[in-house]
Amino acid sequence: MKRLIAYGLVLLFLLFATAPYTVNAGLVFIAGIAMTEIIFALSWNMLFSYAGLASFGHAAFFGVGAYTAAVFLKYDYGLHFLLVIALGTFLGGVSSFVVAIIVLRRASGIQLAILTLALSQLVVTLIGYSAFLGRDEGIPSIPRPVMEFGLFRIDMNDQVQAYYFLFVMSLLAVALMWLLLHGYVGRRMKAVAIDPERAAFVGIDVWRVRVFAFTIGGAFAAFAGCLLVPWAQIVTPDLVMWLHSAQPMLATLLGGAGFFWGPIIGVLVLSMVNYATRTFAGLSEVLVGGILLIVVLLAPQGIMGFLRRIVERSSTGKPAMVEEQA
Amino acid sequence: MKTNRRQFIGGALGATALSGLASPMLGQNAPIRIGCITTLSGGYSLFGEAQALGMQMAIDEINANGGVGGSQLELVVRNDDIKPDVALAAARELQGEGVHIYAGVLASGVALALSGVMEELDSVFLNAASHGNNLTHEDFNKNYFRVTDYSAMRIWAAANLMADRYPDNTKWGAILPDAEIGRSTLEVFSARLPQEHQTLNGHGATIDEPVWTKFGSTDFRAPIARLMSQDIDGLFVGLGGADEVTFLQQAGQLGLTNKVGAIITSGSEFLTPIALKQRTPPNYWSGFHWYYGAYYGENPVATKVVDTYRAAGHGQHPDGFVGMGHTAIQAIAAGLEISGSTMAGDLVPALEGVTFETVKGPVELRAEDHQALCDVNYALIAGAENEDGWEVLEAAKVDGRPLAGEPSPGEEMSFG
Repeated sequence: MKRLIAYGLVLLFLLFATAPYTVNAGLVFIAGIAMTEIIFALSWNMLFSYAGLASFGHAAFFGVGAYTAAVFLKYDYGLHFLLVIALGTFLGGVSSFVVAIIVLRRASGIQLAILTLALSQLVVTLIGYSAFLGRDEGIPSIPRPVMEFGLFRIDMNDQVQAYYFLFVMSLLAVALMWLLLHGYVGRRMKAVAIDPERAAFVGIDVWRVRVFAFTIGGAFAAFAGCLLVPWAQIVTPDLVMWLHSAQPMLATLLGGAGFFWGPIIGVLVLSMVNYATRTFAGLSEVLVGGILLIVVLLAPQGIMGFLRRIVERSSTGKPAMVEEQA
Repeated sequence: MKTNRRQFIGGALGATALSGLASPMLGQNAPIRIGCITTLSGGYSLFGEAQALGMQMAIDEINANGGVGGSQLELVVRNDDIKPDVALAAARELQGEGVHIYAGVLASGVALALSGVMEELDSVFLNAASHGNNLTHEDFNKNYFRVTDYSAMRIWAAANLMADRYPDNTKWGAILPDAEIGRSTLEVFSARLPQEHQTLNGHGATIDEPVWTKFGSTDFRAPIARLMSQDIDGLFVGLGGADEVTFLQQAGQLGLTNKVGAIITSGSEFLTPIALKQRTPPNYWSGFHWYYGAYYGENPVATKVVDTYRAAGHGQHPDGFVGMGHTAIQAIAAGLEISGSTMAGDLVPALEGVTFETVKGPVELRAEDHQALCDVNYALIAGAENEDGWEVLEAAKVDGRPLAGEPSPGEEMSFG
């Protein structure tokens, strides 16, 4: 299975790395959007699969990053875009930390889901009353930044440069999340997700681990929001809506909850379905719904789980008895 | 014949490369592709479908007459889902396939997003419906053109019409969406109604505290109660689409539509009478991008569009979205005839100041701010005992040229 994942990742890397030279500008644009959605979905999966927290309002933190970047670029405060990303990520982390220390004290499970959903809708309402944030229309026509690095500069007005900036930043984010979740921190989170009582018994501060996971997840979501802005050149309250919060959930369910790489597969499948059905209004929703139904019925562990079952059956002749983290 | 992997990849790469190299000159074998980006899903899909239909009808007509400069036109339709980011993705995708001319769009927010990237995409966008004042003022982009009237014109015409037809109705109320379009609409109506009353009737008029609602509201009982409590004899409804129908239905049930002596809406075309039929409120004026009845039989372009529409079995009443979709293609054809090229650098100057024949008669795209100078249409509609359940009692064709204001691209409009 590990070899299959490695091959898949190399193929994925090559596809994304060569996209500006192999596919049309529309697909390159969709690939850029997909990269930000991948970071967003991985950040949600970090909460769900590793810390056992189901947030239904994760898009609020994505929105914190997106609106921070939009304001700085639109109103031209002259801050280097890397610093804007850092600030947006920091604000995403701070806001998710505040939400975590309030919400996680008292809520878990369905209560947590409803509370986070309500909070994100509150953010949508607040944006709707703010002329500075463009109210319901959002902030359109956001200029793309030019970044000076002394020896070189990145001009995001050039579509290819913008794409590779996004690509490199996305790779960094994915690598950081992988390292985080495959080390000491990830193991503590996993222990809390599997059995919080037993984790507490062996000395893990469950609440602190959950707050940490929620904060880091929010920061990565905000990071994805920051990256989206110069690419899409528009932010709207839709980015904060519950429907956007549902996207990483769908991607995780589809790709495989419990797998680090699952959400990536999910985002890619969803993007492909949306692209393939773009000329048939309303068909993408029907198809996505149908695919999810099939996945839930036939492969409850998502595409990754299904693939692992096939690989293990073909190598041992028997289905796997013990589930392991891929 | 089997295709091996290498042949397939080579072919795919070749096709991708070639698609981006379509010739920009007219008279070549390849058709000129026009990207129609509009709303084909959700509550506004009826308008988007009508817009795309109008474009296709114009293209069929032009192609049947030999095309433009020897080139046939081809429409490529994409759904924007009324979301700016979806529209941007569609435009970038089509640009990658060699499309440099775009038309359509309903929502001002979507139009603004597309307008903002047209120069980068080396493309031109002819907006066929969005009304936001900002599009040809503070958010003006030089590769953007609007082929229909806009909020300032339409609402000024409404004020003129109401002051003329209802000189004694001077206390008005208003219900609007809490969005940019609602605020800009109210600004125009509040400035123009007293002014028009003063000019035509020698006295002023007042607009009571407006009632704001959110897009997509389904329960208007509280806003209706507020309007009922106001001392008003006229009502301006700026909700549009399904919201307007729901509001007017509930306003009828709660007695508001009978209380006020006149109701005018900014532009929901036939939507309300089609939905409410005999329950259409009395003294109800609806705004149109184009009301066909005001031109049928007099204007040959309009007559042909209406006849073709009816003959194709689409119904008896083509709405303004059909008309403006048609107009967008007429504008593109006129620009292409002059420029001889599909490239934005040639097409933009060709479209600036061009006058062309449309379903509303000759329309000029003003050179300075790319705004169409055209008529503004309203119709007085009432419920009726006929097959439709409603009928048009009176059509108003207001000359929009004096109402368009001075061009001021890059500057916000002022109504002080």
